[in-house]
Amino acid sequence: MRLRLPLERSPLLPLAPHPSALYLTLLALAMTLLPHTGFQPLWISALAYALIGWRALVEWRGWRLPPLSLRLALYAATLAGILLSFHALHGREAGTAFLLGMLALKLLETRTRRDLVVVIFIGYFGVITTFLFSETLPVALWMVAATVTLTAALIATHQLPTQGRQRAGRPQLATAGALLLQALPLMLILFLLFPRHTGPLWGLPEVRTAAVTGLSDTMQPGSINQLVFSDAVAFRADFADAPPPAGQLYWRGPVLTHTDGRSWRATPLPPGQPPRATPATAIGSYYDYTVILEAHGERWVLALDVPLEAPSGATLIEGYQLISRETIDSRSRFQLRSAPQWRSEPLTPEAWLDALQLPDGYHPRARALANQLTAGSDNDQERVARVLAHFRDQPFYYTERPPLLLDDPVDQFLFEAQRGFCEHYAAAFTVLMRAAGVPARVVTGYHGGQVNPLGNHLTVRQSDAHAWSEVWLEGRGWTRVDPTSVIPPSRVELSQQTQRIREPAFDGRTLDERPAPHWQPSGLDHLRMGWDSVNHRWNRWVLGYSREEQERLFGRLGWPQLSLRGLLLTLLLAVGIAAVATFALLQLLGRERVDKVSRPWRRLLQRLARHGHRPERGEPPTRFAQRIEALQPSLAPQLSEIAALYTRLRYGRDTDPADLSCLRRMVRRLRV
Amino acid sequence: MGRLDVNNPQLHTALSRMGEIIVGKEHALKLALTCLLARGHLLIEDVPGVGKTTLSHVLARTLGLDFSRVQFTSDLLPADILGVSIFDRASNRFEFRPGPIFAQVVLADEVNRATPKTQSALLEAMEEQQVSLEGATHRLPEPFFVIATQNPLYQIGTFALPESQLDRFLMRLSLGYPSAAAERALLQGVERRQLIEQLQPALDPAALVTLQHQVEQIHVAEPLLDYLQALLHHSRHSAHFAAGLSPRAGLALLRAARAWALLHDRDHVAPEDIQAVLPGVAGHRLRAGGDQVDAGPEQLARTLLDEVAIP
Repeated sequence: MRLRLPLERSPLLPLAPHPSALYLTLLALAMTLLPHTGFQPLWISALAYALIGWRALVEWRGWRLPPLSLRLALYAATLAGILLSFHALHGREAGTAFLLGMLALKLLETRTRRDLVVVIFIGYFGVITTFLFSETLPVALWMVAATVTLTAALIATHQLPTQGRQRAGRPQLATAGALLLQALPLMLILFLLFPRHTGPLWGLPEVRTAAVTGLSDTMQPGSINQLVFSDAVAFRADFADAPPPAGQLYWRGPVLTHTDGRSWRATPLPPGQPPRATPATAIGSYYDYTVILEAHGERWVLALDVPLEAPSGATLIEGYQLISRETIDSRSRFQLRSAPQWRSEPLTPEAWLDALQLPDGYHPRARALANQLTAGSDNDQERVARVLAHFRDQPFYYTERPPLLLDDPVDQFLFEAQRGFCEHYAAAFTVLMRAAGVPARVVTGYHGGQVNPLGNHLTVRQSDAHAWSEVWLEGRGWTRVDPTSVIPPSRVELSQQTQRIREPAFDGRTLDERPAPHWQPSGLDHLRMGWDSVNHRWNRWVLGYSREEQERLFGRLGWPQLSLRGLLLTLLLAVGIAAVATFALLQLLGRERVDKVSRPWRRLLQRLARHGHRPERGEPPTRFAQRIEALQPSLAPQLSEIAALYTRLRYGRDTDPADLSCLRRMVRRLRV
Repeated sequence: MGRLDVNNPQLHTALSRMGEIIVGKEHALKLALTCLLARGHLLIEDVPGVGKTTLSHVLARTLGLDFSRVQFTSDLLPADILGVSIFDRASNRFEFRPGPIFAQVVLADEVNRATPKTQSALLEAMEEQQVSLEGATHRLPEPFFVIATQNPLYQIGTFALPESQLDRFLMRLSLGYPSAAAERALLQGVERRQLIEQLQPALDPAALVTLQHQVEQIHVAEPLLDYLQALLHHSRHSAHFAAGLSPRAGLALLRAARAWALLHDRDHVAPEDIQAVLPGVAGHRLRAGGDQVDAGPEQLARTLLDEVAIP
């Protein structure tokens, strides 16, 4: 807050030289604030917009700006509001709210050109703060527009008011656009070469977003079910070659081994570095692919069943789970390799016991059923087949709206409700297998994914969340069994909303037998896929441009291991080269314009110089022509005519292209 | 420069009529007219008797402007130039009696003989195109053109105009003695005063104002500005000049060059125009330095023009 000095009232200090300057600034601030409305408390946005509107009215109607007392009161109220909302003035949310609130309040004391410049520069900072909250493509494009408008305001601030009415802001916006377009090469260089930070750049607390939909490390009836209606993208995958067939698209997430009879949970992670596990051995081919994971606030990395090795930044732990070193609070990228067919190492005795554990006092009827179904079988594979046959042959229904199961969900599901979602089937199947003495566990993750033909990548949404089982078979190790897939289509109840997504999963065949899903996309689907593809590229090439990507780029250019110092030196060099190149280009372009007229004249001068006729320093062409004509009368009057025409073309108002060709012709025809 | 290469028809007529009376001074006449067209004021520095008064008189007469002459003396007061308020008994109020400055062409003869106070009164009126006296503002007529003459400095009892005041004149010229042939014609011919009285105006004030407006429309191309800036830059950085040309001098050069271009009926300024007006416009603004200390203003301007290449 500045004190009101008598100087401020001086009529000698007009608000801004160009009338568009203030309006452009207000417009740019309104644009900058728009994405913030989604992240800030409503009252901050409302206050800021009200102040912008007020300032515009003051300017338009010629009102007076509010007195210091009112400004101070508003300032105190805003400060109190922020403290009440956030209990702090720092941190990402509170800090941004503080900045935006003060920026809007500053408008009420903006009178002079200097004030306006201050507002514009804080405005640029406001643009940057948007990216603390969202880095999506639409927000980025919107912020580019805001930056152009701010720059136009800055240009208008330094212009004099012109006589007459002008098209408001149009020329300034054009200049700003041209300026920023010229900065594009520099921006690209800085983007490609600027040293990348591996951790979160801002190092701010509380960046972690509170409610993110996604899997969790526990499963109880209904926990996956709630994801079915979420259209949010869970992750996208890019395959180096063709993606695997749909039947193999099981994306492995948390593996749940422990049950208390009602819910399932994963082995809790020890703090720090989790213990490494022996990876599975691939049988046959494997896939190389990249997963770009949306933020989910947990540590696991989704991988195609089963990952063979850990990507950088993650560890492969027991249960073939990939655990990231840090919680995934921002979109992250992993380079993965998975094999659809694999063989496991023998189970340790503890793991064996874990995979057979059932809570005492729970599921008495399920245990009895398991014994009844598997009696007389000496083969685990046959036991699996018999239990699956039970699900297929008994009236089990698949539904997205299962009845509430409270006391003993497994028994109630198996004998009373017989209607359930994938988690019910996975849990019940696993319990039955364990009761029959077959080591088993629940695996959660995602199944399927939509191939986007435009980006040639696979998009997996939250609605693709799934749960299945794994059983330990002698000689094969852990083997995937998806009990949900045996339910015949006639007993599948899908709501209209999810029919399109889920239907291909139920056609009576087991998933492994099925070809890739094939459906005819509608026009809207095309749009959706196009947008998804654009977003994917944005995530992959712009946001996902990490240290590793940078190293790969340099590797391709021939410097595989570039130190930070080397990187900075290269950056400086590239910026220097770009600056010199731009300067040279501008010079060249400038010369090009003049050259068109000067070239024939220079040619003529060269020819005359061979006869010893050179213009003196500071001698205008016409006077030179007269002097030479006096020495060599045969040149008169053509030489003077050429000089006059050249002078007119060079210094005249409108250059007619016909005159230029006339000059060229006259120069050609002159016999020296 | 004997040939009158003025292409604008109205101005050609005017100049050829003036040339009949002031023989052999076509270039000076053209420069004086250029100065008038560029809305500047002219300082003529020369010994008495070379035709300064005749030139002003002829200029006014040919262009159809009214003319007044003030002889500056050491006891001349500002009121003698600007005018006074006199109490009129009949109407019982003060009435402003305009001084000789209220004319379209004013000849301030031997301006360096008056005291600085009186000089300032003239120069301020010139600058502001108006006279402020006792709270009232009186606009000077339009067009308004002051021709001041100054005796060379070696004459006794003069107050030389300081450099800052010199800057207010767009051009400084000196007429010099006439050539032998011109002097012969002068000696043989009819008396000049008689000739002036018979002189028919070639223009009227309204046409002159239109021409002054046209001067402002003359196109100036980027390469020409490059040339002008190169000249200014050289004058400021070369060892030949102790003081370079000011931005105001640059503007004056451009204005004069525009008027010169109009005189030659061109819609754009060419380097020749700059070169033609530079000695008159820049001569009194350049200070010689280094080996040029002894050079006259004309010589100094030539040096500048010869040292700067035309881009």
